[in-house]
Amino acid sequence: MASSRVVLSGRGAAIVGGSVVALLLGLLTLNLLLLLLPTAVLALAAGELLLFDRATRGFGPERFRWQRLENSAEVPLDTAGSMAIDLGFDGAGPVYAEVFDPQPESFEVVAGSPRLLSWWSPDAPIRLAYAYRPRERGRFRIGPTIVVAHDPLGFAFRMAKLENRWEVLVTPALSVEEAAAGWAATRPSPTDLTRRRVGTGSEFRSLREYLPTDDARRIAWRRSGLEKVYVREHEEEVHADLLIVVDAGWEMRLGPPGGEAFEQAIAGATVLAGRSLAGADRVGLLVYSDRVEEFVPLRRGFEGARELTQALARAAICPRPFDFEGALHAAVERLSKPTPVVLLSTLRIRPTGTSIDVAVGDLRARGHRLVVVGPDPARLFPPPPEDLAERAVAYVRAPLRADIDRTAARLRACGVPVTLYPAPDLRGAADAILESVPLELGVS
Amino acid sequence: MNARAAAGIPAYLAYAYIAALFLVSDSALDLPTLLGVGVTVTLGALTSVGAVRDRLLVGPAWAALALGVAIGALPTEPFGPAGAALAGGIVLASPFLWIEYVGRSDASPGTRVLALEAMAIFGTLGLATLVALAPTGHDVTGQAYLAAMAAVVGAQFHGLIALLGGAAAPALPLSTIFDPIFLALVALATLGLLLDWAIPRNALGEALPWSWSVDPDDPDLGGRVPPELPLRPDQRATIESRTRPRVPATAAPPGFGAFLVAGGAVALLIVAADRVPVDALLFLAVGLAAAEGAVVALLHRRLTPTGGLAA
Repeated sequence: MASSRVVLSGRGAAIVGGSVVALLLGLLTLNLLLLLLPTAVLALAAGELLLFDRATRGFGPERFRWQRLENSAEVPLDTAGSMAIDLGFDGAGPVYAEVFDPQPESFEVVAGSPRLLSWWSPDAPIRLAYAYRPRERGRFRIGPTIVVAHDPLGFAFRMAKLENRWEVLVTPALSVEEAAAGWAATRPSPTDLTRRRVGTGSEFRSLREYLPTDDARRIAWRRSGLEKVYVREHEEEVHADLLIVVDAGWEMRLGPPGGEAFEQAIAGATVLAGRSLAGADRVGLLVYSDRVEEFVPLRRGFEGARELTQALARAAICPRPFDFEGALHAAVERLSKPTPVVLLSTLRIRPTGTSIDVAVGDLRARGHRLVVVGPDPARLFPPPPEDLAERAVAYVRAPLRADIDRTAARLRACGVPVTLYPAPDLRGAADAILESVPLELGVS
Repeated sequence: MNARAAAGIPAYLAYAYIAALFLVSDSALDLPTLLGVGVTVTLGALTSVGAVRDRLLVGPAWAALALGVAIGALPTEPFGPAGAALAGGIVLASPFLWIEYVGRSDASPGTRVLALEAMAIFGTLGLATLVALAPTGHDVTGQAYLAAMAAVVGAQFHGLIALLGGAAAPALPLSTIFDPIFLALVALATLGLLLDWAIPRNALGEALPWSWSVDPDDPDLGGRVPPELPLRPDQRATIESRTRPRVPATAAPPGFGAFLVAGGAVALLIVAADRVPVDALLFLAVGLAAAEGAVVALLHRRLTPTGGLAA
C-alpha cells in the first residue's frame, strides 16, 4: 500500500547536520573520546528515523476511515455551528498522531477543539468535535482534515491529507423573528409596520355616510336613520413589494478590509429585507455585475427570508465593472407589476452617453420607481489618526468623490432619489432609505 | 535537576577542570593571563545567565576578544610578552563563551552537539598543550601556553597529512590524550544532552501527551459546551463526547530503540578501537556512510503524490 513520505523536521535536520559536522571535527583529532560523542548522537538520530519509518510504514490516506457528523451546513452570522468527524485508523501499530481540521480564519472556535494530539491505537477510533462562531458571511470550506504521525523525539513526521472537505454557508442574520427582535427596541412592532387601507378586509375601521356608489350590503342599518344612512368601512392589509439590487462590480471593493462597500451593501440589503419582511412585504434580490450573479424572486415570510439569506451569503464581488443599464433592464424583465427598486452601489458607474437617462426612463415607463443608495465617500474609510494622513486620504479620495457626485447629480436630474449613507452605519440610515421608497407602487 | 542543567553543568565542570589544571600549574600567574581569563569568563557568565543576550553586544564583544588574541599573539612591540599572555588567557578561557549552548534548550540540537564537541576538542587541546609544556621546565604562563598550543596544532596537522600520505605511525599529539576525569564529565554532559532529547515532543517541540504530562483534572479537557451557545442537544452531545488526548499504556519509552542503537554503535566503536585501532577508523567511515545513506534514502522516497501535503 502506498504511503506518505517521512519528512525530516527542523529539529531532525539540525541534529543530523550538527552531529555530522561534529564527527568531521572529531576526525581531525583522531581521539576516541572526541569520536564517540558525535557517533552516539548520529546513531541515535539515524536509528530513530529508521525505526519511525518502520513503525509508520504504510501511513497514508488509505489507512483512514472518516465520517463527518452533526455538521452545520448553514450557519447564521455570529451564531454557532458545529463540526465533528469520526476517524478510524487501520495502521500497523499505534502512533503519536496530530489530527487537525483546518477552518477559515473568520471562524472562532468557541467549544471543543479542531486539533487533537494523542496516542492513537488502530483499534480505538477518535472523534474530533468543536463549535465555532463565524465572523464573516460567505461560503467557506472546512477541511481537508490533516493527520500527522509524529516521531516521539520530534525528528520527523508523516502527513496524510483526508479529502473530506465540508462547505458551510454563513448567512447574514435575517429572519422575520430576528428582524422583529432587532427593531423592537426602537421601532413599532412588526404588526404596526404592516400597512393597512380601506378595503374588503374583515377588520372594522369606521362608519361614514352612504354614497350612491356604495354597495347596499355594507349599510349599517342599526346606526342609520331616516335622514342619514351610514355604511361600514373595513380595513385590509397592504403588502408591498420591494426589489433590492446589489452592485457586485469591481468598484464595490472600496473600503477597509471587512468593511468594503460591497459588504456594507450586503448588510444594508439584509436590513432592508428584514424590515420589509417583518412588515409582511414581498422582497426580491438581484445581485448584478455585468450579468446576473444571483436572483431571488419576490418572496414573503420564512421561505423568503431563507432564500434571501442564502443568496446574500453567496454573493461576492466580481472582477468586472458594474453595468448600470443592464442591471435595470434585468430588474424590469423580472418584475411583473410596478415595484420600487432599491439599488445599493458605490455609484462609480461610468455611464456612456445617455445610458442613465434611458435606463431610468425605461424603468419608470413600466411603472417602477428607482431609489439609489450609496456610501458617503467621506465616511467610506476610517479617519486616519494624523492630520497629514487625513489630508493624503482626502487627496486620494477626491476623484472618487467627484465620480460619485457626478453620477448622483445625473440620477437626481432623472428624478431618482439618491441617499448617501454615512458608512458604515447603513443600519442607522435604513429608516430614511425606506421612507424614500414609494411602497404604494407594489401594493398587492 | 532539569534537562538544561543535566547537560550544561557537566560541560562547565569539564572545561573548568582543564582551566584549573593550567592555572594550578601556572607558576608565574602573571596578571595579563589572569586578565584574559577573567574577562572571557565574565563575558561567558553574563551571556549564560541571560544578562547579555543582545547580539549587538555579544557579537562586538566576541570580535574584540578575537582581535585581542590576534594582536597579542603577534611577536612584535609594543605588546610583547604581556600581549601574548593576555591572548593566551583569552584562548584558554574561550570555551566558556559557548559552553552555555550545550545546556540551552532553545538552541537547536545541532548547535548543542557542536558546542559540546568544540568544548571537548578545546579541552583535549588544552590537555595536549599541558603535556607539551611539562618537559620544557619553563614557567607555564599564558604566553607559553599560546606558543605550545600552536605547536600542538601544527604537529597534529602535520601528522594528519603524513597519515594521508601513507605514513605508518605519524605523531598525532591529540589522538593519545586521555584523562579519566575529563572523559567522565564529557560523558555526563553527553548523557544529559541525550536525555533532554528523550522527552517526547513533536516536530515543533510541543510536548506529546505522556502519562506524566496529561492532567485528568485539566478544566480544558472537561468538555462542557457553554450553555449560551445556540446548539442542538445532539450537537452538544457530540462535542462533549470528543476524544481527549490519550497516553500510551504499554509502549516502550520514546526513543528507546534509538538509544539502544546509539549505545550499540558506541560499544562497537570502543571495541574496534581497542582490538583493531587502525581499522576502527574504517569501520567508523563505513558506519557514517551507511547511516547517512539510509537517512537520505528514507527522505527521498515518494511513493504517492497524494499522500501528504509536502509530496
